[in-house]
Amino acid sequence: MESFHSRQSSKVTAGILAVFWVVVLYLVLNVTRIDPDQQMAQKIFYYHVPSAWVAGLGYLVVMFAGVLYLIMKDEKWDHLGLAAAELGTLFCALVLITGPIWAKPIWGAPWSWEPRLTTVLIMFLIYIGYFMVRNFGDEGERTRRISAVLGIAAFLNVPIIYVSVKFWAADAQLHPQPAMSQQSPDVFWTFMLSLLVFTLLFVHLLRFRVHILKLRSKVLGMRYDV
Amino acid sequence: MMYKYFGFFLAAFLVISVAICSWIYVIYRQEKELLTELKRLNTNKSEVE
Repeated sequence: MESFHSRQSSKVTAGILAVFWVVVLYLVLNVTRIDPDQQMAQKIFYYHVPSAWVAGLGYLVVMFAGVLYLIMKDEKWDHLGLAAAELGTLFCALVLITGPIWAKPIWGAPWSWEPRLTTVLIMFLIYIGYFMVRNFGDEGERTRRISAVLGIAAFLNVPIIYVSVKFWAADAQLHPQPAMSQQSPDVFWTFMLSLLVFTLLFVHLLRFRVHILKLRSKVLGMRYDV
Repeated sequence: MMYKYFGFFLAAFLVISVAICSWIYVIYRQEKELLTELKRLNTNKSEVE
């Protein structure tokens, strides 16, 4: 088995992502307008929202991989589910860190128990439970099956997060309502590019992690053989 | 011109960049260790055969 980045396609993708990471930073700093109230703090938006999108995407992949694992019992779906759960949780943690950094100057406090923050924290904690099952369980079929079921059940929280800004009473809300279509083109297109870069980054990291899980599985199998 | 709250933006950007780079580094190291282990197991296997 070869190293993931020895493949030409992986090298090219990593190079493109590095270039576009810098392009997005340039656009955020020099092209997008400065919000008169929030000033530079508003620009956290271009990283905070795509991180939240990628976390949700990761958990969607966990759910699909869980369903496919339960149907087919193929190890490759378990690998995909675990890799997506790790990435989803990484980006969910980034949402929970960058959110308070943004909230401190604008809301006056880094944390508030408002619906969206609370539902995201609940999702993060559910996935901590998912990793506890994976770490304290054995490498066998039972742990994989429980993880798949947990991954499917945990996804139920994602739509709740999405509708949380509308579902609860307006006086309980601090997060703004989504209104991207009303934004100026500089804000809209920079945000779209950032979203695309984060999505491609997620796909690239997911492929990398799945490759390593496959490699790990092969090494464990050989250890038993030798 | 330095705008207000630049430090908050910089902190958020650095947190995201450093976290992603650290994650890549950790799994890159893991891959390296696994490839070395795989090579060693293949050598052992051929010696036994």
